[in-house]
Amino acid sequence: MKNRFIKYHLFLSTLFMVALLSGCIDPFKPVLDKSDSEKILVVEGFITDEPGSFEVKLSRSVPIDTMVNYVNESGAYVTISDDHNNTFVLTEVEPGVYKSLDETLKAVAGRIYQLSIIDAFDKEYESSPVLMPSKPEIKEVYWEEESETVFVDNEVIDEIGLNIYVDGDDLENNAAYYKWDISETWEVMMPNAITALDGKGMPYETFVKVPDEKKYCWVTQNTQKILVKSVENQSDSEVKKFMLQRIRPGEDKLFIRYSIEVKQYTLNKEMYDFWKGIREINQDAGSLYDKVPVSIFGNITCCNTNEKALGYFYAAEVDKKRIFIEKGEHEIVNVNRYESCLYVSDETLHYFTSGFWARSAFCSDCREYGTNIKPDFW
Amino acid sequence: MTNSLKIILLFFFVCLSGLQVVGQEKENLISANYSGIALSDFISIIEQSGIFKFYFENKTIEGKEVSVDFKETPIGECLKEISNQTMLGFYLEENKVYLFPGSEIQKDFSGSEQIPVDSENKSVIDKSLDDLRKQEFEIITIGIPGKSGNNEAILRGTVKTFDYKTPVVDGNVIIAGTNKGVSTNSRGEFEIKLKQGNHTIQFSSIGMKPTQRMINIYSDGKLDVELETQIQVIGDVDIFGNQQETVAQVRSGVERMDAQTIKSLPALLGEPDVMKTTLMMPGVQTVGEGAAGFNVRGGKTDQNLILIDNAPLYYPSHFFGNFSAISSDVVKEAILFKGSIPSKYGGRISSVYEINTKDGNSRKISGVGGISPLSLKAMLEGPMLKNSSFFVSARSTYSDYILDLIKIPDLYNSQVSFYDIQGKLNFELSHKDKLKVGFYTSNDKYSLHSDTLYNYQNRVFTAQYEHLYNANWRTELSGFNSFFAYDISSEKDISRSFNMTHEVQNYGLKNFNEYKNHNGLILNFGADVNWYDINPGRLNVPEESRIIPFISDNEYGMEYGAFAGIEFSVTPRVVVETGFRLSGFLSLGNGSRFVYAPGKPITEDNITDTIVDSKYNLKQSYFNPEFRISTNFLLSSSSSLKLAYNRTSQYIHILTNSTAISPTDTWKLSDEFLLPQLGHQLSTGIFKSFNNGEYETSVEGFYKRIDNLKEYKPGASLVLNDHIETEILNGKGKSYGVEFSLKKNEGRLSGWMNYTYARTFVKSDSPFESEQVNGGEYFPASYDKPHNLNVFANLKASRRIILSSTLNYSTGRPITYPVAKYQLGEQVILHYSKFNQYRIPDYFRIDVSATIEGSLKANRKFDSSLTFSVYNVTARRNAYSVFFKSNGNFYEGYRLSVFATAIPTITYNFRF
Repeated sequence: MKNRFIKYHLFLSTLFMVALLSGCIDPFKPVLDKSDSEKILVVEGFITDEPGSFEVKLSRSVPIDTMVNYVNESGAYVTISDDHNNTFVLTEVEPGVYKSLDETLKAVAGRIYQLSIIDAFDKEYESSPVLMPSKPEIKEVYWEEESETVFVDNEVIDEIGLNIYVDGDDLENNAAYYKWDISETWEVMMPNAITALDGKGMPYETFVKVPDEKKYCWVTQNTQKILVKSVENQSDSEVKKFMLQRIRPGEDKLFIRYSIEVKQYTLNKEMYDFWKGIREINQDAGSLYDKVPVSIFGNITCCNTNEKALGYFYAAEVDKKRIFIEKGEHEIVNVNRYESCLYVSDETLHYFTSGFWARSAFCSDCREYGTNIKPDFW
Repeated sequence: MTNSLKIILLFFFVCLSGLQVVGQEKENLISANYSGIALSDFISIIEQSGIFKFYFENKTIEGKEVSVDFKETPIGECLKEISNQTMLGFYLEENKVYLFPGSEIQKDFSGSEQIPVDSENKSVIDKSLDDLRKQEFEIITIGIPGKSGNNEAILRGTVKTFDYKTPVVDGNVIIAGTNKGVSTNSRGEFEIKLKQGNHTIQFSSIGMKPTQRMINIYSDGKLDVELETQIQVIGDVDIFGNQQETVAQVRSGVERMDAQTIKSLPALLGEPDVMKTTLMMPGVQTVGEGAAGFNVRGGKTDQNLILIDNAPLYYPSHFFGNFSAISSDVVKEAILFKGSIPSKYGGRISSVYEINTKDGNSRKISGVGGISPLSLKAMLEGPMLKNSSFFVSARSTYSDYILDLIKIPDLYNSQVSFYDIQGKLNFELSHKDKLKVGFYTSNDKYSLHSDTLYNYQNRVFTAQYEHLYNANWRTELSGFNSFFAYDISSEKDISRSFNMTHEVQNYGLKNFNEYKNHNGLILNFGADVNWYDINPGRLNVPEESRIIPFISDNEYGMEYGAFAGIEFSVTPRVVVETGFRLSGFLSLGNGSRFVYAPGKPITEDNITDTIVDSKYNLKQSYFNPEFRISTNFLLSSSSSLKLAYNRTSQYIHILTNSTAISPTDTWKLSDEFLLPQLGHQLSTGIFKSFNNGEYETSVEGFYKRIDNLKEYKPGASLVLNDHIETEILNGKGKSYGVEFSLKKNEGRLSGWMNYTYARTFVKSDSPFESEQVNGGEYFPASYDKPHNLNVFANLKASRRIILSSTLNYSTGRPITYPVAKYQLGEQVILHYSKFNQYRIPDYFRIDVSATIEGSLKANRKFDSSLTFSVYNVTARRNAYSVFFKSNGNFYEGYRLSVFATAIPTITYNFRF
């Protein structure tokens, strides 16, 4: 399909009229018929040219008002086959996670892969066959400081933030659809010392040094947005300046050191429509002229009943690139995440080995946010 | 409103005492002596003499007493004396005495004044309003006794407005006491056959004060009548001038709205709106506030033919559907045909909405104008050349200025503006030839919190020529050009800049001939042709842009129709109107098109070949005979039962897969894949009026079926798609419902109450499972709102203050809710219910308005009024939509309200 890329946000963002006439959006909880909250099998399988990528997650959908977002599907029999008559059996290594025990196994571009599942109720599911595309190379991942108009306290201001872009080059592949997964990692640091209380007897305030294992941590955050793009109706299939992320002033990501790893791969039309559909129903809601919502089914069908499964199975060669952004390289004002914490009078006390109680763990232990184990790439 | 006079002849047998009426040879001298006798008794006594007859309304003389002492006094002087005592007005004609309330026309009293007697060549001319009103009580003698051979006579005449002497078109001329009547033609002329003798003829028309004439007809003759306009002050309301009309009219499912009705409804932001008024009618619904268009009896929004002066209007709204594209100042009347559609109309299957603009004041220059918080408007009309007239109207918003003042994030970088200009020239070429030339253009521009600018426009030219061969025959030739286009552009970043357009060109020509005779037989026939030239969509880009331009070939098509209709009385109580329309469509080729594998779903994967057509090569032809019939059984003089069947077809469709119609939806002609939409409707209704037309009630029921309804595949991509047929399904629709209506037409308090129960279902009609929505089962249409209640009340609180209020209630529209959630990676994703399985909360809204007139002085040159209105006075947050959005890992439901608060407005209007 051509020319899909112009996204007609027919009446953008939330409504004009809403805003004009103090119209509004309020929370609202409709009464739902529980019999419709079927437990549908959800498949998440993405195999790549990286060793150990033969992994499929199985879960079931849950009613919308439940606390958890899914339940794991255990006891299924999962295999992946290719067009070279190979069949790889995946073993459940933890609830809902099925993995090939051969950690060196990787998928090969040009081959056709297919996923088969027999669930705990003996229902058979199958994915459509997927031809694994070769990798579209990332030309460059880079960032620029750019201003964007935002509103703060009803004032229009131009806010300078840091935008991260990717340029791709795919002249031979002639790919039409791209997807990116990003993984951001940044370092956080606790203050050297915090105000703490002595828990024995009459509490009194004192300064306590934060130990190193609670002081230095690394926070990792994976893709939050669905980053897909069609270049089908572009004269070249080259991706130029596709924005992956924007870091605004006032965040803590850039305070010490920041890194982003970008994975780039191409999609077939079926998967592009799938991801675009997922993005549309989940992110573009709320305008007057919304498209009518529909359930987005991927490429997994059930072969002996009418039941359809949710999710997808896909195979692609992936190109990766990581960049670092150091503190002095930009002028974006980011803050120490814990700055405001020093002044917070939180009653949740936190124990220190020295016998003191901090006002809050969030102010005294960086492990509340990430890990204190330095990543390999750091 | 004047109640129709009840003329009652008294036949009291009261003992004669002290009354002498001296013989005729002595000039009708009266001798009488009474003290404190009831006037009614006195009249009886005089009538007992057998010489004089009195005509009056009972309540006029109620409680009046007289004391008289006449000795051979001439009747004229007697009456003068009685008049002095009772403050009643008198009129004497031969031996007939007419009594009126008030003594204001006493000065005209003269026993010898000649009532203009009408023969073929003379006509009654109204000299002043008093004279005009007096005519209601006169007996007018028409023709010459003994001239007519048989005992029948034909009465001809013209009905004009008193104020401007413009013809009253489609006015009603009814013989009182019967349901026999005719309507006036476009020159206000009528012709009716009567038995010789005395008759009361009633005249009425929308927006005019009904009147009557008492005639004594001997042979063929002429009677010209002028009607007073009801529009005495701005905002003055008279909802329905034509009493009894609904009962007598043969068609069912017809809603008429005149300018006064439209203006009397409380308006959003002070802008009276012809479209919003439509939504108050039974059987008419909308998807929600902020949605353009309306749904008639389960039809889609593109199934309404909206005509301004016979030309279709493609996008009838400004400002996201919140305002009608037509200024209410130029509307003479608007008629919605939702049940029986006359055979002269075709091309849309659910309704015809005929908006007729006024002809312009042919007497003097006058105008109206107004300022509301949103817009400025002005309309000027007046005479031009000899016997010709014009009007010109303009409206514009200054909302950009307001937008600048509002500092809220969602409005930054936004602009909204619109204007419309409309004009008409009305040439009276000769007594028998009339030419009307009209022009309309509208333009909307907006950009909402982004660099993308949306712009859409309508442009309509119309010309109507009418020729009268004689009083029975007339012919009409009309032509139009209607153009609709939008463009969406973005120019901020040169490499991403584009301009996307869509254009609809429609030319049409129509011939309509009508024969009416005095027996109520109406015959009509004619033909029409429509030429369509549509550009589905173009994407233009500057050279530096990295976007690939998209060029599409124009679509061409020709729609034609030939029609004939007849309306006649089978028996005096049964009237039948039947019509036949042969409609057809030629889909013409231009450029390349795809061929799909037979027996397989129409998808991109199944394209087998590409054919290149030469321009105007016939690709596909459709032909649909359409039969229509309406019958009216008069059950009594105030009630009737109607039955109607209608078949309609449609060859042009809006492509939209959003809930509401938006200006960026594209129009598409039928072709080899998109079959014409076909509608069948069976309707019936019982109509009854009470208290001489003060109350009108009706119950109407309908069943409608639509074939080849346009449905879309999930997630269909409808813009810039050169194989649009892969996204569209030919579906089926069915709807049924009952509409109850109660109207109060007269009195200080007037208004209506309409309740509708209706259901509408659609299904996608495809043999392939992959193309079915909801597994191919019927599901409720997005505009299926079973219960609907509309109430309108208008109260003349005082001579200067008019209060009005509307109430709207309807069931919430169907919606698809998420019923389950699951997780993919870090994303929590929603899984939806069956299509339209749930409903949003019910809709309820009350609007109120108060209009205060500036001056009540008669003959004022400049007149103004202030209207205070509050839209949504209960500030109820009516849901337009319910949607779900993720906040981190949690999904929460939200309700979106368009007008979530009470919106007060002050509007200033003036006229001169």
